[in-house]
Amino acid sequence: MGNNQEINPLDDFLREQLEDFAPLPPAEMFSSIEQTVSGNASQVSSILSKGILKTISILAVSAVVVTGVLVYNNSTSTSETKSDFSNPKSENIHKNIHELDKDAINANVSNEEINATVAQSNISRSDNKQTSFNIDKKEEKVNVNLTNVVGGENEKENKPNEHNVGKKFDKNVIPKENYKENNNSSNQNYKQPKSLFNYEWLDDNKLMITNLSKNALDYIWLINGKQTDQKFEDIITVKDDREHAIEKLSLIAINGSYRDTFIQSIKYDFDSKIEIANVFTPDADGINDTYKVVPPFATEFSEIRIMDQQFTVVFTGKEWDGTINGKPAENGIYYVVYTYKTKNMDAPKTKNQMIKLIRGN
Amino acid sequence: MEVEELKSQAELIKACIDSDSRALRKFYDIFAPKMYGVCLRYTENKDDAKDLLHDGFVKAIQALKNFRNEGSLEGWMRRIFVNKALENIRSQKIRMTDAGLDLVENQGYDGHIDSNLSKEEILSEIQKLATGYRTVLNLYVMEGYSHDEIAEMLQISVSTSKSQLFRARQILMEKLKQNNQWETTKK
Repeated sequence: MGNNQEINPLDDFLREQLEDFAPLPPAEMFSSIEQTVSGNASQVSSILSKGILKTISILAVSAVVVTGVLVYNNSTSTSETKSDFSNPKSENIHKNIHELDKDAINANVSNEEINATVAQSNISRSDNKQTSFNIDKKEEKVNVNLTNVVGGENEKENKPNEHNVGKKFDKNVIPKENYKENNNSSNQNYKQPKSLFNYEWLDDNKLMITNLSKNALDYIWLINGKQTDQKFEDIITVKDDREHAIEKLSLIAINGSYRDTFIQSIKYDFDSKIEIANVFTPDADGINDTYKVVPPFATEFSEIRIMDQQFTVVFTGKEWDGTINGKPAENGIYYVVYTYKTKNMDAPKTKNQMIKLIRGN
Repeated sequence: MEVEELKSQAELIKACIDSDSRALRKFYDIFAPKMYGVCLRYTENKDDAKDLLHDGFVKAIQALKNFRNEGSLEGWMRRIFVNKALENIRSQKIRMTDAGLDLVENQGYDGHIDSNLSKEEILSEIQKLATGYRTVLNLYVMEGYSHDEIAEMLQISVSTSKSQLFRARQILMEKLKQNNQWETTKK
């Protein structure tokens, strides 16, 4: 548990309110829990009794009298206690069971070790409501008894028994998908991918992206929230109209079922790329003779308005040839207001600039 | 905890391992209310909380034999329930994304929050949060995990965890404000 260094009144408030909050639990719940837990126990006891019957019959055949009696006593006492256990007054028997359990466990350490792996795998699949550690425990006992009594000869009997149990819990009860999924997570083959990229705008409307993701097997790129088929390598080019502008770039790094998302808002400042000249020389020398603004992207609408120093509009249009009402304009300072709108824009934008009109002659 | 209490707890656990009906009942009665509270925090509605309560108890009873009488049984139970809740959440494969990253650093409220909302009402506001927000809020605020730990548990990045917590707090504050039943007093 880490320490929360941050002090937040909301957190304190929530903790104070909900830390010890103990609402009335649903009443009908207990019986279903008990059923799930002890329902398995009864299943097991039937398996157990079958096992015992088998042992007894084998015992009779092999006629190992001394050990036979011992184990018979052992097994019957466990099954008796099982039934007596529901009786709340049987405290003595209760104690006896524990002693018996201890004996059984002490006597068969190696068996326990072997079974421990089985028990563990059962626990890890605890998604399945039917698995119960009870089963493991009882099953242990059965195995213990069997191996104790007849030793090597009994392996034949032992195997089908194990097989039975294994089948029951591995294939029949657990749905295949569940089993697979749990297997995967226990193997921990997958590493958590980290999604990361850098970007840089180059001068000519090009975006350079460097993918810095780790542990990923596959990537999904999203431009403005829409998935693209594009597999970006290093450099991507943005088309020079604003229709295809990238505003948000997301990278999802995928490794198996794990994914990590990294989002950056990338906005190319198109507006600052509009160049409006501040000098105008309409002297018919073939250079800079008309005044116009050419944005580096496609526009739906664009217009320049030229005003003189009294803010009287002297020209409205796309290209000014430097005349006012057919007469050449005087040298001096003029104002230009550039209005433009692209397909993606809701409202037109304007840019202002002061220009100096100079006639060389 | 007193020795006597510990003894009776150990006995209770032992009896529960042996599926003693009476012991199981007692075990349930002791822990069900608090664990139900935990379940409600991690789920969207009561039905889901009930399912989680069921699964959590079954898992806890099955795992009881692994409990060594060292820490508190309640804390242990709580971890089991939280893990079970996370298991469910992970299986839903919820995608959490970074949002409002810049804001995360500058968060924090001055003063003390007071609300007339009942615990049930606060809880239902938490239940209304998106799963990602709710889970991170629970783990960070109620369980006291750090962002690093949460990131590992939920297989998300640390910044995602931070932003989820930030949004969760923001939404809850908004809810408290909306109800006009909150006040902050500056220190």
